[in-house]
Amino acid sequence: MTSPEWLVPVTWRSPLENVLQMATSHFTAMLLFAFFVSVVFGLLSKDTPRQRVIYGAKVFGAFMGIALLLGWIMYPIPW
Amino acid sequence: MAKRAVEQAVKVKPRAEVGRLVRLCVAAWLVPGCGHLMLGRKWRALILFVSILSMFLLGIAMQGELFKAHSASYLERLGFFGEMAVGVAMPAALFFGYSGGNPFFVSADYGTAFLVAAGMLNVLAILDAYDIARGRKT
Repeated sequence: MTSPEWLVPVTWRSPLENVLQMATSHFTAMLLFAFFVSVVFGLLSKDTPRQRVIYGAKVFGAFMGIALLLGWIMYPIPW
Repeated sequence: MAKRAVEQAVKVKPRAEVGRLVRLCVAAWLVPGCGHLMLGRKWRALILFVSILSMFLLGIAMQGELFKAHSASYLERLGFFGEMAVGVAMPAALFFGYSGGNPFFVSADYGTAFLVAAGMLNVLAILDAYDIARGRKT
């Protein structure tokens, strides 16, 4: 019976996995996600560069603001 | 006579048009931004390529899960189609040795979200390229 893959020592993994490993906090992951999604949304939704930047910034702000707001709303919940 | 000449000039062969659109959408699916590049929108293509591929690579770096098509769970099958929407990036990652994710890694859940979201953003990019090709967008 072979051992499950997650028991394989790190050195036996492929070079791709050894090079690319990033442990992030929830906030950092949220920041990166919001940034890239905002860039694409701004680019595809609007026509002029100025409109794209403004809309992208609004989307980014909405992502972060709503996430933080929801976090604080859920903070008093004990579980 | 002049009216007929104008009408004939405007007429486009439907089969050629459909073929062009299919090739455009397939190219846009395989490589993020390629559809826009084929339409001459170089900057848009570059930004889409960098953004979508960066999201995918961040998902790989966070050890996100690459779903399989033949999974017992319907949600995992949906996740597979979401990740396949990125194009050749997913098979390329498997080819270069990515084992499909480590569910016990601390950022694995975020990585999975990044991988699927990258696919979804590419779907938006494909639809945008289609709309530009049809003349619905500038």
